[in-house]
Amino acid sequence: MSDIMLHPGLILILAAVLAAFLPDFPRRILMVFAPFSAIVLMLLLPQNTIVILPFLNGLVLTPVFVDRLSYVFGMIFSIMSLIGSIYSLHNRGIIGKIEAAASLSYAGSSLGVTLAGDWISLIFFWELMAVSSLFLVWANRSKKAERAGFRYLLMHMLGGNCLLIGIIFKVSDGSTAISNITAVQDAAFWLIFIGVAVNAAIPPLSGWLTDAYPEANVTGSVFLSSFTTKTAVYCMIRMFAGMEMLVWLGVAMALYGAMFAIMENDVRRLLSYHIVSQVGFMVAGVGIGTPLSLNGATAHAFSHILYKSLLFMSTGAVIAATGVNKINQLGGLAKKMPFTCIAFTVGAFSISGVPLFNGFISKSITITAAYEAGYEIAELLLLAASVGTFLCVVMKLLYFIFFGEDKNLAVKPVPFNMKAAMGIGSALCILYGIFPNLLYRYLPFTMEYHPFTWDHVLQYVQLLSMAVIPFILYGDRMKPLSKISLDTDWFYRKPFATIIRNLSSLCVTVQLGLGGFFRGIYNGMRKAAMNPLALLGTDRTEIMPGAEAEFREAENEFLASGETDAATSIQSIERYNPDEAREPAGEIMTVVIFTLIVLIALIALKPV
Amino acid sequence: MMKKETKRKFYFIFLLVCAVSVVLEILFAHPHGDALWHRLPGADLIIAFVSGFAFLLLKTKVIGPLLQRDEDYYDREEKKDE
Repeated sequence: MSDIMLHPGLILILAAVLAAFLPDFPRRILMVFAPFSAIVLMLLLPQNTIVILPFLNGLVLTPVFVDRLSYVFGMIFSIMSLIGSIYSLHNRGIIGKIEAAASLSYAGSSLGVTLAGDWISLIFFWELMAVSSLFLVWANRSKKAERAGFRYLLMHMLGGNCLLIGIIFKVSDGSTAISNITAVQDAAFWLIFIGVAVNAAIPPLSGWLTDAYPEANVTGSVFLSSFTTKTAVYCMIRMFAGMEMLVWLGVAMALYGAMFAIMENDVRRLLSYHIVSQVGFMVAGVGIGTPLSLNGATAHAFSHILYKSLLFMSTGAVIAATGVNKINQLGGLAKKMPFTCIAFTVGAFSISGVPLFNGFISKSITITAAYEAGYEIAELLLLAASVGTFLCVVMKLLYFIFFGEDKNLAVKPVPFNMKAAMGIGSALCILYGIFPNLLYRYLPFTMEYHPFTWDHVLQYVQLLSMAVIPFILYGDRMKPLSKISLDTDWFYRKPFATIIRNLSSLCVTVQLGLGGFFRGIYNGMRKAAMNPLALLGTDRTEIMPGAEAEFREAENEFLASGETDAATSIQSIERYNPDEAREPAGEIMTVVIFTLIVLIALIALKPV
Repeated sequence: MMKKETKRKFYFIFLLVCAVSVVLEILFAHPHGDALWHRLPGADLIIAFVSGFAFLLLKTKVIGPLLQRDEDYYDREEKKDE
């Protein structure tokens, strides 16, 4: 039991619970201390550590399973939780508490997924990850964030439930340990695949990512960009390595993300499309399935977390300082925000694969592995996607935000903690870019790969310098427009929403119509049961015996007496209501008649 | 967008880098594969130009006109629901 308390993910989750209640100052200390402890614990976890816990029905859980693969992912997740926490230290009040709790819990559950050695631990942390990240979206309390968060929730419920059912199938078959499941492509395999594919944002299941991530607060987006898709990549390496379909899905993702990013005007949505694009490289690496490509996917996930969070942090700083998140309303910020501009440039060069930045040392592994495994077309298309990435992030974002036409925006100062986090991110991007062996020696498989050969370096120099020429030639057409692009979320935001809206109106109409129809029948039958002659109308009943006749007589006399305020005076007389007087008998008769109808129907329909 | 002079400088710098890289490739690089684009010096320049041009063409002529809408496209319907 004491071993489990040293789980780096659980430390973060416990810190998340505390962060929800602590005042600002102690919460800030906790936000640095807890991720730092997670890094230390992760470093101290020796290879091949296995912690087991007894569970229900004789099942055994393995919440901690450390091998070379989970170690690399665990390290980068814990490092990222520290950088992200430092970036969000300035948040105050209730939103500060909610975001701190959600982000620490999100990072902790991602570590939980990474270290889980069995299916049940995996699904527990998987669902916790979805819920925590949802609160990061909702922490921005705008109407848009609320709606996007709800769509995010629905998509993750779909993915999570598919994964859960798949896992139930797996566990009921007796296999509790997570392993490569591509050998038998049964229902469990496909359900688990869909569950993981939703989180990896494989189109057409990717709409949630670009819908929800830009709606969170700038501090929340930094966390969101780092964990969900990368835990999915980790799971894919564990479960689906060598599944050929993934090569082409990955290539499609890489191109699709770059294409949609070129059209995008919202800064963070553009970067979200690049998450899809970059995860495409990793998914393709998983599909190729050779040791080199799996190392490429792992290394690229590691690098991607660093440079993508840096890009989200620097654009977040721009949004926080100017209050503007549209590219065509930004411009000329290099002089006003030099530090942010440098940090963004480091991130942009890294994502594009400029040599000496960390994207180069990881992206090139996957592309080389694609060629060596015989996927020549995939190699070419991944190179094309790299050009698309450079066009969007360096030429479009960097140029239009920092160097384009000055829009004379008022710029608020960026808090020191934001700058510190950007500084750490930039330093790590450059450090791993210059010394790739710092990362390579931790990769899960043994490989022989040297990034700084003439061939590799010149390939990227040529790709990236030539990509500038179409931008200068047709730069006017790259200008961001005040438009949005329809993505796969269109299906559930437009036609599906219209169907649901119309179906619910139809249901309400039918309910009201049927209600009126049956009420009419009921009232008619009740009246008929009380007095069938009443159905003929009151004007034909000339004789009103008993109390009713007396009332009418009194009423006539009163009217004849010539009182001026006749109407109010009549109301003051206690009226005789025949319905009230006959109610009991009427109800009973209705029941009797309905029973008779049912009996007759039963007799008539009785099979001979 | 850019001034003509700036454009000219950009062309000069980047085309110079491209030319130097091709020379260096011929002199020092050992191709990693047998495919045409691995053996042909400067093939990556063609890949970059064609794909960059294709992205821009698709953006302006095909996917852009097909899929781009006004920014309040979703908001109109969603406001009705409220």
